Amino acid sequence: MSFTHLHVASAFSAHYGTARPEVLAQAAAAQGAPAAAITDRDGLYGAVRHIRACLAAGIAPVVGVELTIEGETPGAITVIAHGRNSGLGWAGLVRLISAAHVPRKGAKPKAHGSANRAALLRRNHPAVLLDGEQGPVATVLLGPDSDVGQAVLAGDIGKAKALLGWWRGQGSVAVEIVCHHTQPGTSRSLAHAAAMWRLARETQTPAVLTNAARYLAPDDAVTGDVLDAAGLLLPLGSFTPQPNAQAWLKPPAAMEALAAQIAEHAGFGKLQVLDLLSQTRELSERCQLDPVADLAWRQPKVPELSLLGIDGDPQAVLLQRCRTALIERYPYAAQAELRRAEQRMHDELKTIAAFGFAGYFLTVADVSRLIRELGVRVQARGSGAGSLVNYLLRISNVDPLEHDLIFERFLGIQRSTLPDIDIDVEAARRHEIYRAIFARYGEHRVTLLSMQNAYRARGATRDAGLALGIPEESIGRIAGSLWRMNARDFRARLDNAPELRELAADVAGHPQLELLVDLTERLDRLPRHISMHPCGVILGNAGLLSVTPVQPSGMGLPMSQFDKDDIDDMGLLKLDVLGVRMQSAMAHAVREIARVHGPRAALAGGLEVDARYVSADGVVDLDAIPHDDAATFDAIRSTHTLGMFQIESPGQRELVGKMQPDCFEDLIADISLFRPGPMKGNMVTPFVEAKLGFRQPDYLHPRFRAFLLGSFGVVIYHEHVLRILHECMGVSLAEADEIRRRMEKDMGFLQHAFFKAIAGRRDEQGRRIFSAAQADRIWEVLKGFGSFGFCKAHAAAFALATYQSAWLKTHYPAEFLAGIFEHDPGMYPRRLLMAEARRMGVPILPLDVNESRDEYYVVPHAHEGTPAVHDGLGSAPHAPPTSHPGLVPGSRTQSDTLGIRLSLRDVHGITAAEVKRILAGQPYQSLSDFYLRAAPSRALLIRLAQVGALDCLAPGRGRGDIIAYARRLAAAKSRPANTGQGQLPIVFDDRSLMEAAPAPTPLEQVSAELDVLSAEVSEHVIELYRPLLDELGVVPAADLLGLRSSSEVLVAGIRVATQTPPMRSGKRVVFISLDDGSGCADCTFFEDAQELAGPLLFGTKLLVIAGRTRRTGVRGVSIQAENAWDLKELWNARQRQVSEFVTATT
Amino acid sequence: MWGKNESGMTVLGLGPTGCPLNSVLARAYTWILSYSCVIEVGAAGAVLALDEPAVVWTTAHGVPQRMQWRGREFLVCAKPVPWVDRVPWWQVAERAPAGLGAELLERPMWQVQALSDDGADVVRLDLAVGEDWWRVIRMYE
Repeated sequence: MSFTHLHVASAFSAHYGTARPEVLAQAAAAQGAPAAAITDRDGLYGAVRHIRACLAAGIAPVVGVELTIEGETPGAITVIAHGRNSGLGWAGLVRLISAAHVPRKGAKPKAHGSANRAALLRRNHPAVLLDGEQGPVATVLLGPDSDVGQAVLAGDIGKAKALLGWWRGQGSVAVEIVCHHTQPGTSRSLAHAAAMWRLARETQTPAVLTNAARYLAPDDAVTGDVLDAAGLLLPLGSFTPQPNAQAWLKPPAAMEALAAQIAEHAGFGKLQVLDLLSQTRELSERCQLDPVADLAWRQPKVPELSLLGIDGDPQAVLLQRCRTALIERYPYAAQAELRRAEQRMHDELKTIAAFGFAGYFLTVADVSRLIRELGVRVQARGSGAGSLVNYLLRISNVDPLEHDLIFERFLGIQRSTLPDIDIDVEAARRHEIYRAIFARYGEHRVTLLSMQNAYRARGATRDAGLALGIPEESIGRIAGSLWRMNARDFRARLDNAPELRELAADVAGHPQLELLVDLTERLDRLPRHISMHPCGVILGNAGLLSVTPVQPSGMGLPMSQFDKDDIDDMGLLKLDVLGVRMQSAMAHAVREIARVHGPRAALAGGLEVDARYVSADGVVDLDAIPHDDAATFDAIRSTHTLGMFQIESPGQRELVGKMQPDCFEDLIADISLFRPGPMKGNMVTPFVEAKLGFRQPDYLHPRFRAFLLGSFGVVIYHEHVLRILHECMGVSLAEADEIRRRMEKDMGFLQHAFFKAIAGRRDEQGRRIFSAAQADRIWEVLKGFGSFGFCKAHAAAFALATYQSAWLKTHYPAEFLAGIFEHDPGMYPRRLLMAEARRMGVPILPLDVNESRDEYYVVPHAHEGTPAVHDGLGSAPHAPPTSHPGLVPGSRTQSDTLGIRLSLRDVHGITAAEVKRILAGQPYQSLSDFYLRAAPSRALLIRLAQVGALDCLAPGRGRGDIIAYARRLAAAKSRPANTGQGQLPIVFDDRSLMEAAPAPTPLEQVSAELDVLSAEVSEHVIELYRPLLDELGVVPAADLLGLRSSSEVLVAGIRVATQTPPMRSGKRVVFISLDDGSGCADCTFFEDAQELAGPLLFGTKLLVIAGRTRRTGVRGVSIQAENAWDLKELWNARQRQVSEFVTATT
Repeated sequence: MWGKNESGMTVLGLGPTGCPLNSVLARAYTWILSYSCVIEVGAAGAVLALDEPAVVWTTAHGVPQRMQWRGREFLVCAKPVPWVDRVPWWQVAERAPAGLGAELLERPMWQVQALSDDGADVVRLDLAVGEDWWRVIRMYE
């Protein structure tokens, strides 16, 4: 006895299904079903996972979709693809789904998370798309929710027959019998199912039995209730809920009993029951897909070569291109070096040829060329940077020979799917690039990748809270206190997380909160909604749109319903075009350098005038700068690395301070070491000690010295392991990579083979190359390495951006920071980087409606009289001023001569149209002139006045006068009329109209700046609490370095970063960085301190922290926190005391 | 038919505490008076929402056969229809951990047509299955 459920929604029917496809397929197999179906709502989001799970379970996959029909007789149908027809069924299904997602004319885009179904099908679509030349390629199930089912429920059998007749004229149709034992007279009741069955028999339409399942077991119905509430955005009790918990994957016996029960009600006998079950079986057999024949499972589907302008052998073309590029990439190389490169190139090409991947490489090269031609910075990331061919094709800018990177780590021998080549581009221009790729390859070959956003703790809590009708404010507070945890761990975390202590006390014995915890756990990891993947683009051949359904993405371009885990199995080429804000920031800096300095750029940056990488008109080629610039490494070693890519976090600043990098290789190591594995595996200490000369590097074996030299004997990279295995076992590098991959999961298998092979390694005289003792030591290192290591190619690609950003910050700080402000690439709020600018002597010039633009830009700025901006408290800039500012080769721009003007775009609440009008009208003569021509909203006018952006329009008047006048203008009922078209508006000096008003207090000014610009310009927010800080004896962050280690200190500031990075012990350690205007105080909270700080750990912005200083290296200091307080609370307490004191004494 | 009630004659003569039937019913009536009845008007006519106790005798398969309700005896006169209702668990449950969902959410029901013992009235009722007492949830007119 077996039964195949043909109508099953998985969790990928967002806010509906509750079980993952893998679980459902396994359950079906366990029930003895020969096949399992997935019919998610509106798409194939879970279909590839389903097929994979079916293959693993040894059962046949069936795939369909549930769609809603629009029009006069709306309703829902389920469409199931027929199988074993060379993919015709799949293609039909895919195109049907895509058609249903085509936006309706004039329809408003629907919000995520609503119960709105995204797809709507025209009634005649199935006929158009599912009728093949050899008959229908899919079957439409007409169930209780179809127009037919609704007519039956209404008792209008005549109408039902007419509708059914129409459907039968359209193609293959079956009546779907569903009984959920709902209330008699309602949909899916026993009577409804019986009537449907009678209709099918009377019209001689095939009938199938399903359970229209939406969960695995009845228990999941509670989760279903919560999902319904979340989907509708309504609390439970305020809408009609699902009728009961019957829609589960019932076992075969239950389904047969159900059939018998419906038959009894319909007046049918055993024969009809058997008939129904056998028709169900027949349809399921007809719909069994053969993944290989129907989907070309795992077979690459890449763009046709003719598109790239290639006819003939792609391998030959690839060889030709690489050969030409060799000379371009190594113009100054010596003969021997060139020969080595050529040999490497041929080796790589041989492997590529063996896989037949030449077309793939040419395609990726074509895309990167396309991106470069748009003038966008582009850099390969990941193991792809280890390939010389990628370097030659300019997909990557990391020279694999320079860094001893290994091709086999990227493309080994046992690969069946396309290798990943990831490309980083400027974030700000990502969409432009996507559009160009669509244009280049055609809309039928390209689609964006999607991603499924799953419930995590915070979202799950919010939606569970919504379902329970808990006020949004309370829920927001609870959700805010959850820090990086899985929803399913909620109850466990309540018991032991210090920051949840208060919540745990609230929950105990409070049924609504107890339910909240249970429901939150139930939502764990369920898909919530689909969105555009941040970087994935799928490139396919002309048949792509028959392989993947597409739907509109947020940016309008079509997006596949498949996510990254589906791509390999579908044989699709995924290109990761990742927008990296740092690349945008650097591009901005390079433009600013050329704009401000022009031909004098090299001079301004303290570079040699004949620097090869600076063009005559001042354009710096970042990819060509030398990698051994002493000034840049000085700057990195100073640990003033804020703004530098990948090395600005508190942990990284500590590490950089410790290891004192002085070459590019060190940067690669630094990035690789700052990861969970190396931290836990304690690779950092031996590296630092050997590097600083405290101990001798241990190369394990003389043969390893050559490749372990750069890492001081520490095995850090995958590439190291490959070479060790290669030396010890005599295997090829490609084989070594296979071994390494297996090693990550299981070391045991290797032990015997390793020792046998290493014992067999002999020199010419037949002596062992590795002694038994050496073999043991090497084995220990390999074992310790485990899965910790990092791909060096990947790290080298990162390090390139790290170095480039450090170089820019060193030589062109103002230009670089303008880029940083513009694109906000790092982990810190912009306001912290502004403090860094002041520390470096780069003034931040206030907003000014006549001077500010829609971007941050660098202004040459007279040395005398720093306008309006104070320089911060920090230490002096590290390059001393000279009599010829900026003219010393090797030093950076004399920054006092350059300032950064704030951008209009970051004014709170300003619209794009307002920015445009302000820019178009510049310059303005007076406040009235500005109000008239730029036509800012009233609120914006006041805000601009508050932050001094209008000061320039009324020289001689105070800020208070201007604000008061702006308020008066804004309060007037009508704006001053424009005096006719084409005529210049009346410009008059309105200063005389201003009345004297008190100037804003520093407190008012700073709060206005924080509100309007999200950054303080006049003084640091912490200064508002100065009296209290002075009373407490709080130490400025900049002074910490001067203190003895283990000094007891109090620091205060605004939280700029919170991290729980990987630790050796595996225990949670919380890092909180406070900015106080003089710099960053990095505080470490171990368990005891976490207990004391409790709820302050993750939420509170302004903190006072007590602790002891800890030296972390030559230039590094951090604070081991002992306790923390909310600065605002302390302040309020102080104010109360003061006022009590005042009342007491008067 | 429904879980625990498959044992056949679930309820006989006595209320849950063992007191004589009449006094139990009397108590039940005063209780009913405090209930407000909601009227839904469906396609099939008016529906009276109730929540009243009834004593139900079932067949060997747990199917309702005979009942006492509002002090009168009724005989089920057409094939009863089993169905499954739901309850607003979020109002009553104190916990909802994984594993207990179905118990929280579902309530087994029968829809019956019954003839009063004097043959005067035919009523259509939704009955909620109970351990001792069943409850009349709806009356269709």
